[in-house]
Amino acid sequence: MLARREAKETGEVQELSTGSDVLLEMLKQQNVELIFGYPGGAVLPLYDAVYRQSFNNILVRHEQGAVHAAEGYAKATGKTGVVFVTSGPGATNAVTGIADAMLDSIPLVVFTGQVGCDAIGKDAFQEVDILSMTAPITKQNYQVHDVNSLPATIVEAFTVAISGRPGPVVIDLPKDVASGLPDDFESKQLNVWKKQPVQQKRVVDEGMMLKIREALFKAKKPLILAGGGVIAANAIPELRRFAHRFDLPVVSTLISLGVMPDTDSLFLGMGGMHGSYQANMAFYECDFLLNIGSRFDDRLATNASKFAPHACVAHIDIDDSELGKVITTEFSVAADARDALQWLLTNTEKRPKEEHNMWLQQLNDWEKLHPKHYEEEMGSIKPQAVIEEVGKLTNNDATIVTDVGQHQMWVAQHYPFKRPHQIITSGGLGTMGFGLPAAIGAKLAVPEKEVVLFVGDGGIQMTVEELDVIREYDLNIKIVILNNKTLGMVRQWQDLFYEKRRSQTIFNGQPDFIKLAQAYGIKSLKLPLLHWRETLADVFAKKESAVVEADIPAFEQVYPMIAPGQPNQAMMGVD
Amino acid sequence: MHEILICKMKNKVGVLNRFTGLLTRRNINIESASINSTPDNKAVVAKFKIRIAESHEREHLKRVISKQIDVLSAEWCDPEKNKESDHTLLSDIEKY
Ligand SMILES: Cc1ncc(C[n+]2csc(CCOP(=O)(O)OP(=O)(O)O)c2C)c(N)n1
Repeated sequence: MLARREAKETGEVQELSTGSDVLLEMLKQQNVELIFGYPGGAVLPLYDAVYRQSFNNILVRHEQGAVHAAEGYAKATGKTGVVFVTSGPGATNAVTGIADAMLDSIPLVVFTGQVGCDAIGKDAFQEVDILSMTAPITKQNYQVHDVNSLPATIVEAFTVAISGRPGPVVIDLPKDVASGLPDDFESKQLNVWKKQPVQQKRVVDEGMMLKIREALFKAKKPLILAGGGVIAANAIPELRRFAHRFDLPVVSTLISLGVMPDTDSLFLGMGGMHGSYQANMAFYECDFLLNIGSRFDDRLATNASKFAPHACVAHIDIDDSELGKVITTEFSVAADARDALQWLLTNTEKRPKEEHNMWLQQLNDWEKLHPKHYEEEMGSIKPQAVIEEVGKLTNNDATIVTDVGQHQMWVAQHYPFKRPHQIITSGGLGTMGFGLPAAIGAKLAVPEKEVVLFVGDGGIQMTVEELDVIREYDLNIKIVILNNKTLGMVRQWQDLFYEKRRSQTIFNGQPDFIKLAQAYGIKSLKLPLLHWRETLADVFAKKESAVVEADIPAFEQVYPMIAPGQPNQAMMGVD
Repeated sequence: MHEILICKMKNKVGVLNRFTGLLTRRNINIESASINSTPDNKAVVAKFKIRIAESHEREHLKRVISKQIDVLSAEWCDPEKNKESDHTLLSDIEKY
């Protein structure tokens, strides 16, 4: 309800802005063009303002979808994603997505509705203590008790979300604050908040950088591990220039795929549990490892104490709590990846181009020994082949979204990524159900790009309701269901480590995914065994959404694989 | 080993909640604590007596705490070298 007041002198009825109007005004000032959300009792004032101001809200079908969509949007652009959910169940439904964003350092501002200030703590209808629940999975969270402090809180939240190491921020908004009347918020006054607080930049520690430079030049087998921090810092050109100037091979993580083009001779592929043979052997063999913006996650450094055993390790990260957390490093620098790389470029200018021919030859030999490959099988469609075919059909330039499981790893191995922000996947939390809503967010963020979602038959059922959003907004997203009729990745672990006791991982029947997509008004088809490539090409030739189901072998394994706790060079499936 | 962690934090609702969560998650028990606001009431200084074995874990924890938006500073002080603060902590407790 819009607040109205009779002006004392004239008796004229004035329409007043509420806290919610102020909030939307602030979002506009933060260049927020759209939000992802779902209404409810506690956010009635907020959605009333959305209605009155015709603010662009993408109405998802489940709050988890809202957060994943905002993550997809943020990942595709580097901008902050914004979410509105109601109190209680709306807020708790958002929790998985918030945790996902925390682990993958994705900037989000999530507004959760809350019961009125007077009712807080009284077990009011749909009241939960979302601040306590989200404390460990947010960079910061706020509950606003005074409508007049809303603008400052919002500006701070956006600054916190995007600055340093990005991450999610929650603003809990009691209903009476959302509908409250601010003292005197003329737009002139709101302008004050346009001035962002100056972000404190870390100064690059020159002494440490000099040592890194020295170690680098001494190294015979140097290696760069470039993580998500390089993408977050917009340091791709610097990384590529630096690698090429000194002939430095580069390994990526799952979420940083695209830091180097797949075709670059210096790029060894993704490292870690399902990484390439040469990348993992390079970890084992290198004598100097420069990690820029990766957190040595246990899916990458599968055995921390045996990781890079012959290397002097240097670690550059914007978040100093990552330094020395997992791997003992000789040199560590808390700095923005771009600043550090720029320092290295500037301070190595006079150095002649370095060559590491022997080392590169060795890496090359490893790649030849165990190139990425899969066995073609008569009478079946191989998931790896489908992924490679999609690469060809999209000129290797599509924005690729995945869900979680085997298909995710096959995509990481077989789609030839070439640019940053190209892969959108749940890395740290490994959240099944992430893919479909994230693809929606990505498509809305970069409509000019082809957006392709690869998803398993398990994961699609976790957020399948979001197909309705694709229909409603007529988004051109290609959805490829790689159907192995099992919870493939868990089944793979059971086969390898639990003597094939396939407990609860084989679906006893499935919905008809083709009919399901049709029920949502989306074109769908199953790839025929014969001429599936032609069928796929037809699908990609059209500028409309499609669900494509590929029946793939049920018991295909993702290889190489490092068993958990084993060192990186102990890869299975490469003999 | 017992350690004393001294943190200066913003004087606002919820800072301790976040802080203790970081300890709980790492299975660290707080054995005693004292908290006081600064004279201008803008900040609080909190001292915690906790047990933490590894020195690298100490450094990591300090950094994790320091990066919290509402934490202004966090420092370890060795109870052996700083009997006074340990004593202050304990004497604070004895009052109650
Ligand atoms: C929300 C959630 N629940 C459970 C898991 C554990 N898990 C990881 S992969 C996987 C199987 C996924 O199966 P599917 O979606 O069919 O993909 P596939 O591995 O077969 O490609 C499961 C259950 C998870 N990652 N996320």
